[in-house]
Amino acid sequence: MFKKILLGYDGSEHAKKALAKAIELAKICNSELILLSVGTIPAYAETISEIEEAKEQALNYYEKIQREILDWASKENLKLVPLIRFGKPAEAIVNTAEELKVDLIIVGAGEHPYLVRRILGSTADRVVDSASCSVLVVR
Amino acid sequence: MEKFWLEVSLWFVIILISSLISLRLGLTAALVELIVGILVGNTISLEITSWVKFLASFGAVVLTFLAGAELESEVVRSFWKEAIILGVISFLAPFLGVWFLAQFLLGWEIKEAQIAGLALSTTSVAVVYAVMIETGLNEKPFGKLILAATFITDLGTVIFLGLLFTELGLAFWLFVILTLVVLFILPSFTKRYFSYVKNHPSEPEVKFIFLVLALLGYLAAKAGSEAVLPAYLTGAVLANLFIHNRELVKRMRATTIALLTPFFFIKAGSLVDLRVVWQSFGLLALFFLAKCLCKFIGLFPAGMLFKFSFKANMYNTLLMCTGLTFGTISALYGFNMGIITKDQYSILVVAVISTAIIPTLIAQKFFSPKEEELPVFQNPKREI
Repeated sequence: MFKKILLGYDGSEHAKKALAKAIELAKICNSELILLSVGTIPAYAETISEIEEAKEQALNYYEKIQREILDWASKENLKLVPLIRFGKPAEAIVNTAEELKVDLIIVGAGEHPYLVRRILGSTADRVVDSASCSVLVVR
Repeated sequence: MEKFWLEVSLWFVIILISSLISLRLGLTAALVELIVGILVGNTISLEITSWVKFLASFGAVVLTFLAGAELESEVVRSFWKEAIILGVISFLAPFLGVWFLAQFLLGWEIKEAQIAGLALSTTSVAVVYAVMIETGLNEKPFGKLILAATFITDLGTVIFLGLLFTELGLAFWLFVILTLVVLFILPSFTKRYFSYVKNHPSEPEVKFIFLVLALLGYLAAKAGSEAVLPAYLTGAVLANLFIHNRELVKRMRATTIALLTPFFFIKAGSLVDLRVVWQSFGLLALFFLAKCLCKFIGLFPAGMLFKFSFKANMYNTLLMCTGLTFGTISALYGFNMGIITKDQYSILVVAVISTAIIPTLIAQKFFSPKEEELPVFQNPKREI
């Protein structure tokens, strides 16, 4: 059904719930699971070193949390591809999904205060709005 | 004394709030500080005391130094021909175009028009880099060429800002000669000095750089020039040393971003009169369009000359339209020196902020080139 599944993963509690659901689905469909973490780079930066520092911090953090999942996945015989991109999370998830031609995107829904969600929106909202493939939002 | 601490507390409340907003929105602190500064300056009376002036001025100088220290000479050398052509056009076209518009169509005085030209001639290296990193273009030859050209553009702005409003007297020539001598001996001297002090916890490297910047700033001010000129050049000549010493850059940046630049950006924002911006919205749009149009007229044909695809050419031109730090520094210099009025300053700073945001969004949304649309560079040495 779903040959390629892309999971947006930032290590948060709701992302962990999404990970559990993604593994469940990947096992049932025998799919390739792409684990995508997106490092946020400050837009309109002052200096290149500011960006490099943000990039380095994001790389260190995501490499660590992805390694833990990879170790576990290898024991479970699950085909998992780790990936780290930079930019705005929703945009990066949608662009990567198009680039890798995935069939399903899975994201967790964070619990934002009502006002924040109304004004700023959430990553899950944006992914649902702009993705060209199916999207599963895990709560 | 209590009044002093109350003022300090008020400033740090504003700085902290700006920092938290930037964290939440994923924007750089500089842009948020500028915007918060505009809002605060138009709602409460924010006093610009002498200590605020010192921190703000020194913040601008150290930030300019750090921008110069990020210059990758190897990249500029690899694309020197294209980078110089694109960089010079990217500076000269909006500088002359906006100057002409302000002086001959809007009736500004010549020096006021020159400040307008300078403030809108810039390209923000960091804004461009942040955009390219999202697509990985910063690692490709085309991305490196764009970066090299932005360095040349900023160099043009800084040189003209440092020299255009200076009288060519004895003090000026003394400043030029002493600066050149210092720039010549600084790389080898600094290298020896750094290996002597060896990352001592008392931060002798940072203090040494601060001293050099302060001394050259004094010479520049004495000659009627601007301290950012020697600061950028000092950064550029020490770039190779700093690129290999990332820990030092990190420490300098921490000091600068925590204590110095917030005062510069909030002060720069607080001087903007929102009433003037609202009343002169047409003028603001005119300046924004003039900058972008001049960059297009100059850069697009140059891109065609280098056989850039349509998308790559549009992307390059739009990114070259961005500006933030040097545009703000130029406008604030004009205001501090009494060259431009508060009304003119307000319009120019908001025009600069809009150039940081609008061209970036358009470039990312519509013209981000795919791999096959990137120009191919024949010389394998350029694949750095």
